[in-house]
Amino acid sequence: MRRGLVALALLVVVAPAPAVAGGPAPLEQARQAAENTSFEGVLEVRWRDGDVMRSERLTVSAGGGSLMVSGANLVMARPGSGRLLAHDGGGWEEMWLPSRAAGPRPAGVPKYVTGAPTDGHPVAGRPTRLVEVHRGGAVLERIFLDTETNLLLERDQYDTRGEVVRRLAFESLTIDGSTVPPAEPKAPAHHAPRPVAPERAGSAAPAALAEGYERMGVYRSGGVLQVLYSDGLYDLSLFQQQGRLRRSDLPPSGERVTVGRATGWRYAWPGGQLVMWSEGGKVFTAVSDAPADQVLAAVRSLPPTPSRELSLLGKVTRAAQALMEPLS
Amino acid sequence: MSRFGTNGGFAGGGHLGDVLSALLDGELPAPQAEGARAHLAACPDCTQELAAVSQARSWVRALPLVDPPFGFYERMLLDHQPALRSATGDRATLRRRAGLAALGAAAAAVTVLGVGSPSPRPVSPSMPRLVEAHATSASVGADLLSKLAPVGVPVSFGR
Repeated sequence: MRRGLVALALLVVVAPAPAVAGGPAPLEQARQAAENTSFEGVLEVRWRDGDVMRSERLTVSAGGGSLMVSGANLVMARPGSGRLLAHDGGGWEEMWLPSRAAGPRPAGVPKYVTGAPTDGHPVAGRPTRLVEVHRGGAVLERIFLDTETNLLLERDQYDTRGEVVRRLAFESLTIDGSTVPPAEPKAPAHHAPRPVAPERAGSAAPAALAEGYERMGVYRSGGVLQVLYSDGLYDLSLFQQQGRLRRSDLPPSGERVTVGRATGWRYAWPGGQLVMWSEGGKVFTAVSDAPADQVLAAVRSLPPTPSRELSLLGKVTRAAQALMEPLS
Repeated sequence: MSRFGTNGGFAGGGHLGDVLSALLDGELPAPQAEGARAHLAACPDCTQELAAVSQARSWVRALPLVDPPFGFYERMLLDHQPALRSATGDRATLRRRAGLAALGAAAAAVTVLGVGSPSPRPVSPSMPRLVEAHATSASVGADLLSKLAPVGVPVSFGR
């Protein structure tokens, strides 16, 4: 909750005179509404993937402090920050635990400007308030909140040409107290990452990246390190693991990008962008809901990963590993 | 030059490197071993290398014993017993074979340690899994619809 307040406080603080003043900021209002309102509806997710606009419809229901998204995957938010996921009829997996609290979202820099609310177009037959988020004089987001409950009914993200790159919008929605809360999953598999002290991650987890992204937490799951960043509006996870990438293992739809001296590939997913590259014996994957230019700028600000000059022992070890791997 | 300070603390300023081998063999004096362990506690890179070295050793130790080629011991004995050697009268042949074996071993060592030093192991991270891990962690304290709804759509990246 505190992070949400901070996130939207950013939008309030940097707003010009006619902007939102006093009271909770729009996305914080939406967050509270999603956690406290009973509703059920059909949500359309649209996103640009290269030259193609893709879309999927999902059923969303909420009640008793829990929220469930039902598509090919099931996603559940439980009270107290529990997050669970089930793939295509499979069992539930616990992806996040209430005890894994991240640090606060950054207080923010004068990066975004939030306009004062105005009347928006109806969404799913319900009246809305429209809040625009600007950056550099251009509209970055249009957020439509339900006038009665503050529930987020539509959220559009634009590129620098003013074209929609992502849209979440309810097609139908019923808001009443009769929605039955989703049942608590029984015996989910535990896949939540464990927190890591940032000082133990060392140079792998810089405290800040370009574009105002500040570190909120460091986690590890198996051999993968995750550093979670936020700029107050968008979040970015940087995943790292030992190894190198082979282009042949990657989906062919990626757009070639450069990250430092490395070649990487960028992909669009329904919630944003993914950039993957390898450097210095590590594979990096950045996942974010931020616009592509911000994600690339942030990852390009990472310090170079030094190529480790192996000692004789290291070479022998590597050679032994390579020789024995096929036998193990 | 010692890589440890007078109090046993690691003074390399970098990574433990070859010290890891001595640590695994129990060859470090107690203060230096303690210093190395303190460095390991704070250095993920060295911790990972220690695990890799340990793994490689266990692999090598698990290799089955190989029987020498037929006549190996006999040829060794011949090389050191003049009487028998004269009986065979084939010392030049043995030397030639030994020379060839040494050359082969040297070539293998150069290949493995030099030119053939393998690059990092190729990995293929699960993109959908990373997307899910990001979305679920970033949804904490944020608008649930914005952050979680996209994860309801399986990520395929055109595959």
